[in-house]
Amino acid sequence: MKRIGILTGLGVLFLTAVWWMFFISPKNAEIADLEDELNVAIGNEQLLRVTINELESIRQAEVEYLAALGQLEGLIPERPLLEEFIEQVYALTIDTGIDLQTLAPSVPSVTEDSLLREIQVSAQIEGEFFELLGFLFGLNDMERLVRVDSIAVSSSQDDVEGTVLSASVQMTLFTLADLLPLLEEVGTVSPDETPPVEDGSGDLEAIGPSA
Amino acid sequence: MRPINLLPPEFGAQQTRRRRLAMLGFAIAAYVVILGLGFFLWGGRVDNARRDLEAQNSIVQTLERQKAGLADSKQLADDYETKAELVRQALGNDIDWGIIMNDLARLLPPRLWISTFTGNVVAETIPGVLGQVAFSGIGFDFPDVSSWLRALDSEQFAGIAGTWVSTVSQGVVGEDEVVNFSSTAALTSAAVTNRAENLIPEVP
Repeated sequence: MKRIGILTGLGVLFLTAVWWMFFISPKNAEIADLEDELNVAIGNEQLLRVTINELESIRQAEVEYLAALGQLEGLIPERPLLEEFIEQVYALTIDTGIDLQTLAPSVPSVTEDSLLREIQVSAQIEGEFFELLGFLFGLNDMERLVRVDSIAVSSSQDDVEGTVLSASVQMTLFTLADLLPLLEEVGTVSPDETPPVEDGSGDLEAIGPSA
Repeated sequence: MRPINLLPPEFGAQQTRRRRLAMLGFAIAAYVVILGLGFFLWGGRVDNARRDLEAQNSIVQTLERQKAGLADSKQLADDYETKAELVRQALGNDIDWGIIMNDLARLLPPRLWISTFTGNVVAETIPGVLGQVAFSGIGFDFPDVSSWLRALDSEQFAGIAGTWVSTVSQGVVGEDEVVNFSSTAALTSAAVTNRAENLIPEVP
């Protein structure tokens, strides 16, 4: 009887181990996986709630965003808008009393690793010291973004006006578009796709009067 | 009163064994039932965890739809950030030449004047040096050039460092003896404006 008791105890132990190993352990693993997924989902929910709150606040401030975008587009316009720049610089020279002698803008060039296109503008101006200062400060205050990269000033004596400063100002404007579309954009014709030459012997004959 | 059992003792032992075996069988059955209950209990836990996950996923999907509905707001914010970043790029090394010239006029020592001034922004080869300025000027005597160096090296002239005079030579203006000098200095990062941050409109 004692032996039966021992064997029964061992059997119970064995059965419990088998039960745990084959029935409960997989379920525990499944529960752990589901809890992990749940935690991830809870994390996603929190992130989404934060994002949605931010987006909601952006939506509420849509007017301010649109106004800001308008201002930023004014600073760096989509197109070169050289005509507007020339008008603005001319107006600035009138306001400051500077004599604009030459203005030489380059065509927009691509900037490395950026969407920006740069337009280098070289200007030769003449005026008194404070007129020149006014012109430089005016460039900074223009609606369009103008960066002055270099300046060379030399003074000369004028019998009528006294000291006159001649300045060469190298500026950079910015835009987002090329002056002309790039070749890839308009579609280049590969050698295999050379269009037929109209030599008068093809379709023209077909539609012309027959002999 | 003491019970009297007239049956042979073997009969009693057999009964005891049977009773014990029955108890053992009952215990085994109870044990198996407990194992079964445990199995179902764990199954219930799995179901609960799965239901929780499904409920959470449902919440997440609802929020995802809500977020997708706000895609135009995200686009608006992205456009704003992109364009603001372009302004920052464009004005990375922006120098306010007007302020430099104004400071120069303010700090120019007496008995000395500048005849030419050039300033350039250059690629940063020396850390902190963003450009170079060069001057040529006229003073009445050699000590005036020293005053020039002291004036430019003073802390009042932000953004200018490393002022140097490369030549000083005697000359004549009209009937007066003067000295002509040429000088250079480096533009440092202190000369860079924060115009980008001023120009980028703030949004809530």
